[in-house]
Amino acid sequence: MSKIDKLTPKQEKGLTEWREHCLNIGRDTSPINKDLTEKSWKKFYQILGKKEPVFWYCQSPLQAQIVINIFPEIVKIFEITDKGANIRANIWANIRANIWDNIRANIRANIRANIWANIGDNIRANIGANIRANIEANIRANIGANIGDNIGDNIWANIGDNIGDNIRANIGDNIRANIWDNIWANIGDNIGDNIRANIGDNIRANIWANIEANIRDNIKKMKLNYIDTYSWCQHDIGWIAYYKYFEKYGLLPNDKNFDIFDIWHDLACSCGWCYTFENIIFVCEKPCKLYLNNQGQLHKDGAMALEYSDGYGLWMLNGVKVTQELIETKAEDLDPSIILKEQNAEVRREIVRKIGIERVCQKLKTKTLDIDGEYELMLLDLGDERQRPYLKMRNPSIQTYHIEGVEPNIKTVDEALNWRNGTTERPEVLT
Amino acid sequence: MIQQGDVVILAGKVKGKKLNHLTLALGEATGHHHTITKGDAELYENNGVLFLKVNSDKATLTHQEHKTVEIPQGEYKINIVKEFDHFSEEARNVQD
Repeated sequence: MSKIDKLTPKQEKGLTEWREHCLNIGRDTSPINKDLTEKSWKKFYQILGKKEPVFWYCQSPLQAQIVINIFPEIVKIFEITDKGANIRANIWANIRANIWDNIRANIRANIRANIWANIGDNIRANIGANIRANIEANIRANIGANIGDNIGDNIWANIGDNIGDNIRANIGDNIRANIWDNIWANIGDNIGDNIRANIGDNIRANIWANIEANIRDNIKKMKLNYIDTYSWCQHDIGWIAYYKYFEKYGLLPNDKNFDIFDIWHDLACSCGWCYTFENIIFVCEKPCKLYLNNQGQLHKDGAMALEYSDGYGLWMLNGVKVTQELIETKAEDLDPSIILKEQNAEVRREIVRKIGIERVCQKLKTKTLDIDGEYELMLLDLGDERQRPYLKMRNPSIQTYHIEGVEPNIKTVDEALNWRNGTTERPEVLT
Repeated sequence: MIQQGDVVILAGKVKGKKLNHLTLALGEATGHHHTITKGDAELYENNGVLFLKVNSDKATLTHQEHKTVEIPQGEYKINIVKEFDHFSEEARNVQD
């Protein structure tokens, strides 16, 4: 069989058609499709020879992190409520309210104790002592062994190694054997790389970094652990889109590999991040709100750029993580001097962009020392009776302004650029 | 000399230990990165300074916001631009 060396008009059209379709999957904010999610995961577990899992739904990945960490304790309560009256929903509502409020209040040191105390109070208020003792004895050992103790047996690696890599390798071999490199590269550029950049870099990576930072810096103080996952489902669409294009547009025949691959596609369409364990999967909702700028970057002035239904989300301007205060304060109420103390250049850029370069200069600039093309060396008032040199420049790629401090004794743009770039050479190419 | 945002690429003899990635700089606030995405290239590190060796005719340096740059075959030293913090009164590499 000769290799495919030219796309048909339909396949050519499919590059943009499929890309847009998949970008919409990655940016979808519709409710979770529980039926499809559960059906898909059960298929995966069956393939792995694993027992059919139960499902626990979380509103956001951060909530999932917390629930998983305290899950052994929740299991005890959950099973108690099964034996009691219809307390299951109340318990969960209680946990959610008490955990989440505290987490959003920036993780007070005693959160774990609070949760347990609240749940404990609820149990004590609703379950008699003799029943509690009975359940403790009969349920704890049983359920604990099956779910609680096994919680550490995270099978994401198993799924990744046994299914993902294998299937990707098989389909990859098939692609390489049948399709010429130029077509392959074309599809890669148009489908895989594009969606990976838009969904993977802009959305998934930001959520991941934010959650990890939350866990690492805040929750870890309470000895909770960051739970890793490779099942990003909706946000896996980048690589799914790439491989599935070949089958969907008839470049490769449908075979059993693609049948398995379709499970991933179904998961991408049906749910947010998942944390897969022996016997149980924690499934997150998709974000309920998502705002992008015209570059496809997370962006919203005045509110979260990405928000989950429990209130967790990301504050971002033009793809840059910033503070809630910067987002929620009107531009005219922001003090331009905050740029002087902000250490991150990209955040500083967004502050300048929000406040406006004219107002920043009007408020802080006391004197222009030198101008050369797009560069201006200015003395800015630090607000402590000192005036120091800053270089104002325009980003040649996106036309935004940057302001960066330079050494106090610098008097010209030329000296500033030599010092800043670490060379007296000037760029032949500058982007 | 080639400059893509905060990354300055100067002619310079490669030295140090070879790294297993091709990312010249990574942004903390954005996750954006200056990375060689096409061509045959190797990245080295010596005392905190990066060096790039381009083996193919050219290598492509990409970043999510800056325009793509083609780097010709050769050996290069990588500088990250500096800024001065007038409150702590010290210079540091620009962080993005």
